[in-house]
Amino acid sequence: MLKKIPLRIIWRNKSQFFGIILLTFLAALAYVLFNLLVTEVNINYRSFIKRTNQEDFHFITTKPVDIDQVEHQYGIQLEERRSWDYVFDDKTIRFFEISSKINKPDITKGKLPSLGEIAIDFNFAQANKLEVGDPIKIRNKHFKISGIVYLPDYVYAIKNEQDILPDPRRFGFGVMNLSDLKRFQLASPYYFYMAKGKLKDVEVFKEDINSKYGILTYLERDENLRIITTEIKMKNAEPMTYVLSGVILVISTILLFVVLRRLIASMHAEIGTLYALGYDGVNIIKTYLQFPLIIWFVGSLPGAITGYYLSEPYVKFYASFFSIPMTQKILPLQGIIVGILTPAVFMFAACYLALRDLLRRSVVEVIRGEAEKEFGKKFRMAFLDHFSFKTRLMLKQGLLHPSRELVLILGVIFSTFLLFYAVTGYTGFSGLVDKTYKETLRYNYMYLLQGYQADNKYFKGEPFTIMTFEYGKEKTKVSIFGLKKNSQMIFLEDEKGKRIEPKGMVVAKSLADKLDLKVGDEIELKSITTGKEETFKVERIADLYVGNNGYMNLEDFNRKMGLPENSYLGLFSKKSLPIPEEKILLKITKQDLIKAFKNSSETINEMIQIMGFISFFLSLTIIYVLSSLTITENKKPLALFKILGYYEPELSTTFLGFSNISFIIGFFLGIQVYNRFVRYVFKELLKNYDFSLKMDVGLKEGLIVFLFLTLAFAISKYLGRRKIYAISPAVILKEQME
Amino acid sequence: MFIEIRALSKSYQVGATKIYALRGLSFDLDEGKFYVVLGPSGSGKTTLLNILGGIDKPDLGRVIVGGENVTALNSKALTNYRRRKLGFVFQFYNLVNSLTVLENVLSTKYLAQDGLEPREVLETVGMWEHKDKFPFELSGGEQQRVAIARAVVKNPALMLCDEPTGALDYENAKVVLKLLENVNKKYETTIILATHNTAISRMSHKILRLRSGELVEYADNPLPIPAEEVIW
Repeated sequence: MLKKIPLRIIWRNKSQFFGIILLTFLAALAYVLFNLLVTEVNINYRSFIKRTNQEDFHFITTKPVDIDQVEHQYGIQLEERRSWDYVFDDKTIRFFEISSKINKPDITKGKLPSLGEIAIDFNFAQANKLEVGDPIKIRNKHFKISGIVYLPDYVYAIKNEQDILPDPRRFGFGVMNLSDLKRFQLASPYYFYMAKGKLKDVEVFKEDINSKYGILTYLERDENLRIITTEIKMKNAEPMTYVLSGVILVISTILLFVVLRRLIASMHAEIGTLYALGYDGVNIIKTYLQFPLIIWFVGSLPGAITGYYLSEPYVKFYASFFSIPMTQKILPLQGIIVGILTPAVFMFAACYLALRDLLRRSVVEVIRGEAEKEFGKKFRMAFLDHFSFKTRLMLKQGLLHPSRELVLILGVIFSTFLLFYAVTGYTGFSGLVDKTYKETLRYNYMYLLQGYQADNKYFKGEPFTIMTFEYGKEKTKVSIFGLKKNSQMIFLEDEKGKRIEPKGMVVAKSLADKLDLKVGDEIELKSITTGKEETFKVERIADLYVGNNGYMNLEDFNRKMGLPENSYLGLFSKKSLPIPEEKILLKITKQDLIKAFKNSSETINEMIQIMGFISFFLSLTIIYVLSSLTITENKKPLALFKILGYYEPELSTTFLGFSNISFIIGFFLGIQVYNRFVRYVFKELLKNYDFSLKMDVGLKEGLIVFLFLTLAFAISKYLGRRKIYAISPAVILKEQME
Repeated sequence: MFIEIRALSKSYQVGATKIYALRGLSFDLDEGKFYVVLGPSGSGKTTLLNILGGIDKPDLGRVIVGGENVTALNSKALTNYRRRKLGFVFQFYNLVNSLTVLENVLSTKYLAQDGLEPREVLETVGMWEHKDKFPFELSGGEQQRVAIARAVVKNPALMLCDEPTGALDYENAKVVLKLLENVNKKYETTIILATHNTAISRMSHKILRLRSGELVEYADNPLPIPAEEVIW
């Protein structure tokens, strides 16, 4: 008979329980979903690089290497790989032979190519509408596409190492058999070797190989942009997803703990009656522990399952930022168990503790709800006598229930933090592109030339010098530009928008944020080209949020670096310059830079937007659940005040009014928390990026966040007010009589 | 005529059974008098008071209080009606546990434009010295005295008392009756007291006896006795 009680109570208070169930559902869903996003992409990536035996480093020599001897001497795996660039129209396909030991091709569709077949990379195939089975003509020879291939050393498929962006329409890679490859590439002037294994001393190895085989290039995987760019993107998204889902779970769980504990306590009359009828503690505990069981069963469990099944499009969306073959669907048991069991543990504990507290009392005390005595004794609150009755009552409602208000404050702090993060992030990003690429960097083309030049034949171009340095143990790359006096291409400004003319070194805010630089600081930088260490003093910090860059006057810079007086290494220009191709090392257009920036920041940007969305619903649910709790606990006084002649809006402001105070406290604390921690979060988040964001809370951002949160708050309060309207005094009086 | 009730009916559906709480009641009541609605449990006393108090709606009929058609009022107007005209006293006191004695009284004083002084009212019911106590620190009789003070403080035209002595012992019940009598005399408040206790009807100006929702007696009491003489 007793078994029916919980279900009936839940049905009777369905809107309140719906809120609680929704919260457990959302917490489990968000946790499992985010966990799965990261885990699935991670595991697929790890599994991909493991099964394909991704290189640890590669090098290029001028003479063929004795593979067996080197493998034996250094305890590493080594494999030569030949390649050939097939250039047609404006496109290039880089064909590799099918390696068997290192960087093995991974076929996700079709099969490895036999003779007369090729396998082609996914992004190039998609961008050029090529499919498995399609014929393709290469230098008048007919081939068939046998499969779609991924290579672990071309995860970020850029054509040249200095390229900023992959361009899958124009560049792709493929694999073919060596004998086919040799039909196009008879001999190569250099030899490319991939290696797997850790070297004890890299320098010794390099010297040895150089002396024997003439080393041209040596590149560690951690410096290989084709590998590391993707890993950095994944790594950066990881902490945010874990932190986000973890905090949602923790806040929901605390809320559930408080709500369920009080909910059970509010059922004292029924529990006391059962107690009086002769049911023992075990029977009562068994009955009332059904509440968390039911909530868990219809909230957490479906939430986790929905999170798991909903994850597929999200995982695909997330994975689309990285070129990783998603071959495995993961069941992240650990994440699912945490997502499901954490709320359960807290809910069961809350209910058990509340029941234990009740059952420790005498039956009469339980029926009468004597627990309130303690409240009264502790909180006479004589200081409230100065206020009007309505204010006094409103303040008491909050002060007598600090845990409820604390959870509300916590929830609002978290939502404020997330929303500020989302809003300032969003405005930061859009402002960044506008400010940086329209106002500061005014060139449309940047040419890096082959070596230093003395005379400038291109009058429409503005000369500059650039030199790259390394900073600190982490070898952060820092580029220093030498700019012409009164440069028309780069307008550096201070925070107030006043133009800065470089005297000494001016650093971009992005670099200053990253290296914690202040005006007057001196930094030691090691030139990558000469290996010489130079000291630079920071004279000014420019309001520029992109680039690990410093700027100096061109003549001063040349003098400091020992370069001829009028020499320069590149040209900025508004229009394309007719410089012969062989004289250009690199040509970058502003559009490329903007695209590259957007590409590198898209995962973070997406995360920021998802956070804003989640924080809105989180605050909505938390406020609604807490308002419902307040109303449930005060059903009788509410009915009574209605009888006495209070209007519903008056009751709403009196009984739910304290939440306005908690909301405001939460909002302002949220701003404080945001201001205190956002710099740390962003520093961590953006440590591998060469941009920073202006994340200060301005009036505009403050207003937007406040409006969003107020909207969530108003909706929850409206729903709460409707519950007050629905209270029937006659029914409550009748219940009391019964 | 202060209160005019015509053809008042109310029924409740309980499962498959329809229960008639009130069956076509019609009567008039004057202002400033003490009325007792007498009847056993289930006779319709509480339903009648609830409709008079504007917290329940009749199926049929009309209730006019002080010229205002209560049965035609919407929810907001009903609240306003209760706010301006009514005071309630319940069997189980219904004080707000988290408020002190004084605060409970202030909760209705707040609603009244020309209410009485809380101190005066609390002194009248003998509870001023307990003004800072919480309801659970009081006996049942004391709680009911506070409930009366709460109802009286806004100086209502009509006080509805539903079994106000039902949960009290003899001594406390008599104290409460005396207070109600005083309120009626001192403030000329119309009091309608619902009870199953026949003895109490002897202190009223008029007795309305209900049985199964019907008005079976509507009699004047030309010589109401003082509360202290009521014995049961």
